[in-house]
Amino acid sequence: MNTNFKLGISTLFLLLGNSILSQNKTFGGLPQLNINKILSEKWRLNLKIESRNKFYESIKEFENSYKFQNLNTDYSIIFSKRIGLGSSVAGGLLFRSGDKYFKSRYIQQLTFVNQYTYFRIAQRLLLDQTIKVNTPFEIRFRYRMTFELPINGRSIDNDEWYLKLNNEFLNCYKNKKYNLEFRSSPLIGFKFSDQNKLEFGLDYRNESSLYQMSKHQFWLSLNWFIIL
Amino acid sequence: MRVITSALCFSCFYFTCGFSQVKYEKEYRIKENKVPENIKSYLSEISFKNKIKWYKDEALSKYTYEAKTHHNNLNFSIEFDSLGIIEDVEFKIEWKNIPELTKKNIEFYLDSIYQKKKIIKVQIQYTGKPESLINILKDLNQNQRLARKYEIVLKGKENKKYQMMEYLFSNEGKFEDKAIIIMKNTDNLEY
Repeated sequence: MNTNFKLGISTLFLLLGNSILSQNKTFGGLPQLNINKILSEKWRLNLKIESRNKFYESIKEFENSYKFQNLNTDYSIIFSKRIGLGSSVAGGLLFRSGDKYFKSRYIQQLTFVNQYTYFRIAQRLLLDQTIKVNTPFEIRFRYRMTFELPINGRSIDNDEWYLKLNNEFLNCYKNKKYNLEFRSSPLIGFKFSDQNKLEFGLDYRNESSLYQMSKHQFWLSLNWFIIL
Repeated sequence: MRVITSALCFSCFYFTCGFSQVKYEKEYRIKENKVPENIKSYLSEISFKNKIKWYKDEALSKYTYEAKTHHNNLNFSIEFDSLGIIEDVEFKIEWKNIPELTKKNIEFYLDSIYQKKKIIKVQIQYTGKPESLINILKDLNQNQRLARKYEIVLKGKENKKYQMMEYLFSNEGKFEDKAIIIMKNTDNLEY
C-alpha cells in the first residue's frame, strides 16, 4: 500500500471519527427475538420482541451519562404472503412500550430476495404510520438493502458462519417536517439449523442534521431468529 | 416488565447453544492440502492460470470434491467422487449459445410445464472416461468421446406456484432429470 493511500485513509478516519465524537452520541444494546411461523405454503407469521437499552450517552461536551436505562420494548406481529419465489408482501402492527408512553405503528412492507451463486441480496420497501397520544402523526418510508455472504462455501449451511450487511434509508414526515435517517448494520451470523439463527454486530444509526445537530447511535445488536 | 423482557431476550441467546442440529447436505470450501493427492495429480496435466477453489459437498450417503476455476475464458467446475475419480466437467454458457435445435426442444418441453419461466443459469456438462475428460480442459474441441448434456437452472411458475428447478437435458434437448432447488428461508432478510 503506498504512503499517500495510507495517509488518505488515516485522514478520512480522523475526520469521520472527529465528527462522530464531537456530536450527540448514544451507545446501547438492542437484543431481538424473532419468531417465525409457517402458516401455509404462502402465509407466514412473524412475532418480534425487541428491547432497546442505553448504556452511555453524550449530549454536550463534558456532559456524559453512563447510566443503564431501558428505553423501550417493541412487540410486533406481521403477516406476510409469498407473491413470488423470493418476494413477499406483509402487513402488521408494532406496539412500543416506553417510559411513560405507548406508541402503535402500522406496517406495510414489500420484500424481494435474490439468490446468487455466492450470496443473497434482499431489498425491502416499508411504509409505516405511527400513532402516539398527544403527538403528531408520523409517517415513514424506508428502503433497506441487505447483503448476505456465507463465510465458507457458496451457501449458508447448518453450523456455518455468515456475514450480513444492512443499509437503510428512513424518510420520515412528522409535524410538517421531513427528516432523514441512515442506518447501517454489519453483522456476523451463525446458522445452528434451518430453524435457528443467531446474529450479532453493530447497528449504527445517524439521524439527519436537516433541522438539528446529527445524532449518532451505536447499538450492539443480538438477533435470534427461530422458526416454529 | 421491560427489564424482565430484556432479560428474557438475552437469556434466550445463550440457550440456543445447547440445541442439536440435523444435517442433510453441506458444501464448504476446503484448502488444497485437504484434497486427495490423486485429484491434484490428475489435474496437474493442465496449467491453470487462475487459482482453483476447492469445495467438498457432503450429502447423507456420499461426498464429492469440486474444483472451480476460470480457465480459457470459461468458468469450469470439475467434480470428483470420494475416491478422487472424476465424475464430470461443467462450464457455464449463455442460453443463446445452445444449438438451435436443442434449444427448441428444451423450450418446447419447458413451455409445456411452466406458464412463466426465467432461465437463471446454463451449464454444459461433459461425462466420460477420466482420460477423455481431461482433454476437454485442454481443448474444448476434444469432446468426441464424451457425452454432452445441458444443465439448466430456472425459476418457473407452474399452477400459480413459483419454483426454482434444476434440469438436465441430453445433447438433443431431451429431458433426462430434474430436481427442486429448495430456497433457504429468508426470515432474517425480511425482518
